[in-house]
Amino acid sequence: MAVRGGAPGAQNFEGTLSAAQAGAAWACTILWVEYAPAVAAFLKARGSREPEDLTSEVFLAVFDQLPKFAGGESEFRSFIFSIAYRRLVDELRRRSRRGDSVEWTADHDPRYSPSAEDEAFDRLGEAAALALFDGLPEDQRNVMVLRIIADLTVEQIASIVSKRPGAVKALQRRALESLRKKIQPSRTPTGRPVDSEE
Amino acid sequence: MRKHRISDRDAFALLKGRASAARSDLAPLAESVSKFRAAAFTTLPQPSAELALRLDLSRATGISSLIAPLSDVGTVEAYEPAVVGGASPIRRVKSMFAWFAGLGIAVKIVLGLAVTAAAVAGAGAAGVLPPLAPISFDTAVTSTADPTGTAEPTSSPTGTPTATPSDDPTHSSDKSDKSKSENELGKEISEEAKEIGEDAGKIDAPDSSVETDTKVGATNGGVEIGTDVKIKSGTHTDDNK
Repeated sequence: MAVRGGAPGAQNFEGTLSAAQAGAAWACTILWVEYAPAVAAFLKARGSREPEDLTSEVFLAVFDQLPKFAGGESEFRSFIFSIAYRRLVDELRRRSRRGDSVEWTADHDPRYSPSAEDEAFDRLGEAAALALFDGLPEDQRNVMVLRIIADLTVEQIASIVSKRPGAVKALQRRALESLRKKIQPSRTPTGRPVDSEE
Repeated sequence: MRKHRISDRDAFALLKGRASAARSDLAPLAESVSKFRAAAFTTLPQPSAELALRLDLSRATGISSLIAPLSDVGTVEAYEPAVVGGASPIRRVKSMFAWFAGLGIAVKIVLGLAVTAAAVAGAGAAGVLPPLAPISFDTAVTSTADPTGTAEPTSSPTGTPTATPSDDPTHSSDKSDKSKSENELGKEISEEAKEIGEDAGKIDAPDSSVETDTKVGATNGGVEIGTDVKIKSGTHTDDNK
């Protein structure tokens, strides 16, 4: 389990999950604390406007469906991110139908002129890091974010995005090759593209 | 050119933010993936109001320290909160004490007097008072009363007549008769008291005469009043005459 800050072991997880299925608030809190950062990170990295609100919606759905869940920690992780993925797709569809409106904030105000320090921070900081997958096709971005942040296996991701594992593996490889070119344009050997070698 | 292809093993390492020594050309990509991962993870998100109702947020702080003890307990019941409905006797006593401590001083005094009176009355009714207690009570009552039996006022303290019977010339003779009869009755009572005192040392069970005294004392405040019933009836008879 790769949730930041650690997670309960198998025995701990089973006890916590059983209690959460019985409706114990303390157990739901532990699940929230352990998995919510990863879910919020996934939603944020995939472009959700309100990742925190969406994370709460995801966990409300998780707790509602928890009594019907059966499985271990790995299955539970896949269960959570399948709900998160569906909620994210719903949000993205809503935004595409209504137009991509952005709530006004001081940071996004075009009249606001950031200082050179702010610009440098943005360029070198979080925004720059999160922009790593910008420019990738959507299905590649989904696979990469689910692999890196959610720590799901190829098979789990295939189940979530409704693709075959082989297709997921191919998406992952293409994404990595594109990223390598993006990061090291000068070092990338010229000539035939990597995919053409196959 | 095939050596530049990212293998499954390389991909696995890259997704973890690492690059093998043999593929140093992938190190910048591994670093970018690691930064992406670090930037995406933030602090614990703020739950919505609806979700907060289903969480125990008081435990959210330092929840990592709560994970370790979970290994010791695997059942749901072990983590249930303390029993709410069935309070232990100690808890009940504590809550009663807290309730009493919260009362005002006047209420406490009244409650204390009421409890004391109820205890004395209950003990008297149950006959568990010590045998000499009623006698001591009688002694205390008679000592506060006028031993000559002339304490009954016929006029106001200022000497001015306040009632018709006190102005009645025949009333003085009645009073002297009454004093005589009271003295005689006092002797009888003292003799009875002596007998009772003698019996009290011998008998464990309460004496019938003592019972009578206790009963009268409980209703009118003393033995004398019990005897006054006879005297007053005689007086009334005289008055009627």
